[in-house]
Amino acid sequence: MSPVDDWLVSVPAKNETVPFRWRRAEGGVVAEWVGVLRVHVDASGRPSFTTANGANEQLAAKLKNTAAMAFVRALRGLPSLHGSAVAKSGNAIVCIGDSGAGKSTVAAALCSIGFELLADDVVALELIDGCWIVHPTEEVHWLEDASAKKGPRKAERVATRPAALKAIASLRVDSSMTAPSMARLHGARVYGALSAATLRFDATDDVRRRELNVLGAIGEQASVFEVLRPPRSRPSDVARVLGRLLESAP
Amino acid sequence: MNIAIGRDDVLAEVERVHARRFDDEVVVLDLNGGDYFTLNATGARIWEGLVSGRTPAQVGQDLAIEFDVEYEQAVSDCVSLAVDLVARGLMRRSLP
Repeated sequence: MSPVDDWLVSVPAKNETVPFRWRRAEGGVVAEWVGVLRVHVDASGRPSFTTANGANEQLAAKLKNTAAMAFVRALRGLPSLHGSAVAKSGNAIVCIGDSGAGKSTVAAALCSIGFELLADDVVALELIDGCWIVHPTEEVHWLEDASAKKGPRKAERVATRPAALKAIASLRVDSSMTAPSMARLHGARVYGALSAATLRFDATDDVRRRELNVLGAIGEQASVFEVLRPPRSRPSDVARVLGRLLESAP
Repeated sequence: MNIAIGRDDVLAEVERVHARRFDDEVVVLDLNGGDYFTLNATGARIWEGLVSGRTPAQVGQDLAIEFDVEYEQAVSDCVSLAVDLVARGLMRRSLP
């Protein structure tokens, strides 16, 4: 077995996250969410997953569908955003924002008013025929229960096919607000919002150059909004505001 | 650091800098320091003019015509931004 310092990238646990590390090995790339999940990606880009002995099965399944697939996609040059996504009539809204901003909660509220869930945690984007689309990757919301512990809950409606990216909502809690409001972002503020939500596993010059170009192209297709909400706003109120994004998107 | 950039100097992006337009602004990524910088609409026009090989005087002339501002003021603004960009390591004077 290779020594630990062979890991090219090693990220320690932070808050409730799992320690992560990856390296080139075994004729491809190996990534580990330590104690939970391991993925080996062979030279042709094909992944194989192994759940660690004694790991929480639900957590391993979630990581496999989200962070691990984002890692595999990154190796192929495909971008992923940390956020949730819903679709209606083939058009997608993506919600991004800091932890606690309401990404999952608002996605669940949107699914109760006719939207379908595409993603709860990791948004898988791909440029196909000149159009950025969002792939369906998850079928459950991860929501807090009465004891504020997050767990899976089956979505009311689940998307079964990709949807065209139309709007991105950068959610933020603002204690000065009395009702949810939204404003379109322009210019460098679009980059700031998208960059903060981008999942990165490497930071080479090529990766960072490509990321800037990709985020610029995403910003050219999708309308990006900042959505502010009061701390105790009802998810349904925020969902109604977000539901209008598809009407105002080009 | 005292950096002298003249109105007729030609500048170029340094190697580990990458820029992209977002609407009418430009985001400049400095891969050396890891920072990114943003240029507003006017700064973006100056940046794009300078990296295309035009001198501050030529870019200033473009801006003076387009925005109906005084030529000397436009050139002075271009030189000022060019000095700032060179000081931050985002541009360099192009060798003749």
